[in-house]
Amino acid sequence: MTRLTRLIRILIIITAGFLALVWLLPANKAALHDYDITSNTYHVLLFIVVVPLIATWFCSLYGYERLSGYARAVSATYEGNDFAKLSRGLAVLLWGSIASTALTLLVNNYANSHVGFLPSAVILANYLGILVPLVGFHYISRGSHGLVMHNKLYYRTGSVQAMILVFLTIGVAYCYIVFGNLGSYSLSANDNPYYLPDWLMITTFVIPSLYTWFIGLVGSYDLYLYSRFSKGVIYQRGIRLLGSGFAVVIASSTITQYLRTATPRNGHLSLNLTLLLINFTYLVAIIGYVMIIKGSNRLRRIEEV
Amino acid sequence: MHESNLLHTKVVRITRVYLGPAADRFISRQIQNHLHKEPEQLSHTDLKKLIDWIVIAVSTLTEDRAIIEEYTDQLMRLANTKIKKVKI
Repeated sequence: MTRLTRLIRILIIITAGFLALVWLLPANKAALHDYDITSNTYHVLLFIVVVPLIATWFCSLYGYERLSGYARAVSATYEGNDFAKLSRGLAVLLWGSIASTALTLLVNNYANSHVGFLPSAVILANYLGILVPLVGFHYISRGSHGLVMHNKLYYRTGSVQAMILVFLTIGVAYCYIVFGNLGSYSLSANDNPYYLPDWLMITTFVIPSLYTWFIGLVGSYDLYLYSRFSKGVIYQRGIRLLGSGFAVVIASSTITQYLRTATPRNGHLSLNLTLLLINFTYLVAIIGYVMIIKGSNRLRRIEEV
Repeated sequence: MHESNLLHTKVVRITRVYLGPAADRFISRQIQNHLHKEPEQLSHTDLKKLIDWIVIAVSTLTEDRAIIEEYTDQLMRLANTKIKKVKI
């Protein structure tokens, strides 16, 4: 049995377990009331909503397996360690997404029958939503920066300025939205949709979120730099696909986190524009993972022929 | 420098334009797998046979005929050039 087959089997079992949870856990009472639907309809809707997410898990798994295979093929070289970190980043995004989604489903269900637990459920879901990309982007950023350092590439002033401008635009807009949701004039107040005192929300959530997006942005730029200036016309084509794929995956993950915080969680399925946009970002992420798969396959073939 | 080492270095240098950091590993693999020699033992008489194997391998990596032809031309030019022996 190949490594890919083994991993796919594991993911199929995990997905089956997750779908069993989706179907078997009781429907959320608030959602049933808000949308005037039956329990079966709720479960069908939830099922439909998680399908794009599950599709990203399988694409992510394939991308991770392809890239980690390439990293193993070049493990004896200076770049092997950097590609290993990139693949580790993908692994964190994959398994972290599965774990956090399942955990969120369980705690929301618990809050469904224990209303007093709702704030804790929302807080946990919010922190999981930022912790997974933080660790994943950290590995991706380390790997991509290693490739840049080993090839003695340098940042161009114009590019750095553009990156800072992009980050500031995203960050300031995000802070405006979140502070608007916080809505109080006291740093210790916690009567907001995030159920945290403002000071804690800012220091343990907003700042880490901005940091995560910044290292994601820098990681994407490093991969672009490496793909632009690496030698080898044929090699470059594989690296460019890989770099573009990572940029798309990082962008879609960032947008998902952005949307999830800008529209505060309420502990149950909400059929709104945010849900539609989040599912759209999952489809975009799939495109990113397909590019990573194609890029990794091209690079692997160079090491195999 | 030994003639074989110089020849191997020139082949890798040409290949690096197309395969970048994978060039050295690629050429070593072609020499070991198809010529059944160590890379340092590459001789001028092996070059044409090596080029044939390189063309087959590179054709599986890209469909761009222009690149394959350009790469092959550079290797053929090397094969048709005598390596000068350097006195140590």
